[in-house]
Amino acid sequence: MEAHMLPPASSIKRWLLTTNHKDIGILYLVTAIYFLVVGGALSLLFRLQLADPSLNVLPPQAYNQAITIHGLVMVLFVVSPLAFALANYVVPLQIGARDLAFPRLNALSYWLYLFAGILVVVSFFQERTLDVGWTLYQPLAAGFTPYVGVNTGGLGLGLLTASVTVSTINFVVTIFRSRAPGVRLTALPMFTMTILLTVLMMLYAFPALLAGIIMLASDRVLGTVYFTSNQGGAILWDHIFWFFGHPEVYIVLFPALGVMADILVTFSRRPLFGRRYILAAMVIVATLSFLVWGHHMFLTGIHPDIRRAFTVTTIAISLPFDAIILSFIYTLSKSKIHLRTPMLFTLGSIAIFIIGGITGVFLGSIALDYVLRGTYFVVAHFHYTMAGGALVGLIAGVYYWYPKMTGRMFSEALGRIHFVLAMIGFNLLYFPMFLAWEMPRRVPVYAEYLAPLNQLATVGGFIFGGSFLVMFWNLLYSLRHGEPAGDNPWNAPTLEWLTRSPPPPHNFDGTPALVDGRFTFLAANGAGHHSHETHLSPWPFMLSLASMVVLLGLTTHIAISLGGLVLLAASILGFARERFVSHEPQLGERWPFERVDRMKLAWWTFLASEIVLFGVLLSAYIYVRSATPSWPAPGTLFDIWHGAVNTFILLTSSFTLVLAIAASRMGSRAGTLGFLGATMALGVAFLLNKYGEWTELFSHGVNFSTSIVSTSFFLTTGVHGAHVTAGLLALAYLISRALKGAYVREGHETLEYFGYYWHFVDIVWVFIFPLFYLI
Amino acid sequence: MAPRISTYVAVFGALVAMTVLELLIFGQPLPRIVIDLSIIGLAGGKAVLIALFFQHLAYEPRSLSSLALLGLGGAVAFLVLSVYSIVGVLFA
Repeated sequence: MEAHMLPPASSIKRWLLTTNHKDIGILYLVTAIYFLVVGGALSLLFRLQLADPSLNVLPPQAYNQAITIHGLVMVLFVVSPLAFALANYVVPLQIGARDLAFPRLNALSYWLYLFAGILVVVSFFQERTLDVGWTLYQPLAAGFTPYVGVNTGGLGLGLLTASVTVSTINFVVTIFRSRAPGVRLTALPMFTMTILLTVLMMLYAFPALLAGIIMLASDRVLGTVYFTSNQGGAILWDHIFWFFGHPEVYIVLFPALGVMADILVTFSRRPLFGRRYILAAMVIVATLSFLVWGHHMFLTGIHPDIRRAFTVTTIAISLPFDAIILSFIYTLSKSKIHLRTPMLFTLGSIAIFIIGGITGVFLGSIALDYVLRGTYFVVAHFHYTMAGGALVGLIAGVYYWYPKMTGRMFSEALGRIHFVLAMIGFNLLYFPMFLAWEMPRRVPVYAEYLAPLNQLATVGGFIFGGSFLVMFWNLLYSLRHGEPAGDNPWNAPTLEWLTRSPPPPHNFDGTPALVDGRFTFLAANGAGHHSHETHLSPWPFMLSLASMVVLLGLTTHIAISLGGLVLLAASILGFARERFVSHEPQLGERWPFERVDRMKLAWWTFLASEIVLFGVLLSAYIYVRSATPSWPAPGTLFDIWHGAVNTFILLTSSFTLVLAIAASRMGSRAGTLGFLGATMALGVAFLLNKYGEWTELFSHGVNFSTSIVSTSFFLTTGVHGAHVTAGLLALAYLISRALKGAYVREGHETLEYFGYYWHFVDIVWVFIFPLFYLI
Repeated sequence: MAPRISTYVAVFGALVAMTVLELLIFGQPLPRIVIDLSIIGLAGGKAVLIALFFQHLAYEPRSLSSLALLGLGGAVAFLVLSVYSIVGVLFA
């Protein structure tokens, strides 16, 4: 089978090797539904436990694991992946692209997600999994859960951040650089616009989670004391987690808002009222989302000024949401509404979200939060917004785009039955929780007088869960027996409806363009179709599988990890050496990156996330230092000359690298090789110096666990050292290619891209040196 | 567009000089706050030079720098708000 031809959908090979965005979207959809069943089943188990305080359905330790994994799975493995299932399928169609900018990376992000989820599921079978609540509060998660399953689950979360980062880069580059002619950013359909804002939020939020997971893993495995010391501890974790965690809730919500907006336009047959104000509101929310996290910490004893500031920003962030919802309502008010299933779910989602949003304003008040924090009022609030606003909104999207994906219509009657059951079940499940506001969350027992409310909630939970069975049956049955859908069964205005259902592999017959507000096609008869583009690759699957094996071996048997490392190295090499052909459209809108090629944009997007990763790590250092009354004077613990020598080494290596790139441009093979070799030698010298420094410290009894001083030093310089090591491995590959004549006159861009990374690693050290050695 | 080799040499020279200056300032009998701020300022200056001339951001559209600066802004906001949240309490 040639790599530019897709095998039939009945072939397993197709699904293992595909890089086509539509296939990836379906893979995400099926996997997200699987995790929905896992998370849902867990919730029904603990709802049974909560049906009566005297019950013993789940022993306390099992209860803790159930609520923790339910939360993690729903937030990270269900709702966002469901959004990206739709995004993968629909966004390239909406912007007129043939695929995402980097099809193999797209497949990689899916397989990393799947294997990350498998690690979390495997952790259930390793004595005990994560059981500290989805927020992993400290010092509980670092110091009081010595179970290997907790490590496996944590490693799964780390692998997921890799998946997210890869996906983020792909969507940023795609939406900015693969739009059809005429599709300006302000003309994007709302769903694609919300995906753009979502991935930008992910870009800056997920690295904070990764930093936290690295620190937590280090505490658990290496014995560092970030979260078990008085200087770091619970509040440091809270800051790091919620700096990620609050943008995360908008990352979960925004795609659903975009789905709802597109559906409102279609089924009210009028443009979105105040579209530009909705866009502005969403940009404001996306920005403010990074400045409200402290409202999760009102009861932690942090400075009153900071609590007041976070109250202001939290109330402020509710205002643009008012604008968005009012625009939705006004769009509906003057239109003839077509109450088809997607519209029903959209309207239900809006109504539910309003309740959730209003209750969020209550929680944004410090005074009210003192009473309501950690109670079922909070549980109800975030389920009304996340499950009601986000999940129900995305369900609307599944129904909306189902005809496009399958070419079949689902049963409208069953869709309406699902809607009615879902609304009844949802509200019966979660509304009583507002009334049970005196009940603390995460505890399996409660006062007897709260039993009727809990019983209502349990019944509602089973109705809500059962409603999904109607949906699954409807969609599965309709795959074979549904009425043919045609290209545009909804008479929708966006571009994805102007191609076949399901679309051909190359999406459009011709190059779409938006001219005078209407879509047209610039070339007919497949002129836009590059038949020699590649659609299959085994390396995303292999690389992801190898990553999982490496991580699994760390908590089972080290030999497994070693085998996984060999497989990983081979997969990375295979990925790098594969001749994968994917073309960027020649015509299109690229503002504001017209002069930036897609690889350059991808690298800088990646580096933007690395800035946050190291920013959080260095901030954590400054934080613990601020919290430590007596810190060793500079030069007394860490040898300044080790640090100074390494500074000169890295600065020189950056210099030799730019000279290598200049030599490459001038066509000098000797110069290119010479300066690349010098860069490699300097990098190795850096690591050797670092090794000498560390062994010297160990010999003086200064190790990972000695104090917060040594913890912060070893962790920060260790993560930096790992980045240097990764860079040197990549450099070794580049040198091997240069030895065969690559990068002489042509191909210097590859060295330049590597340079962005290497110089960034240098910049990080430029700050590490003074912070750890001189101040 | 890329800088000339002479630019790279000048920037490298400046980076080395600024590092030497950091080491020299470190040993001076000045108030601690002056030393610390000077050293951090020099580090910031070195970072800017590397970003502008080795990473070529001086020759790229502002849109590219904006991606990086947004991340930096987020990190700074995190630093300021998290440290302030405890410093005022610890030393009140």
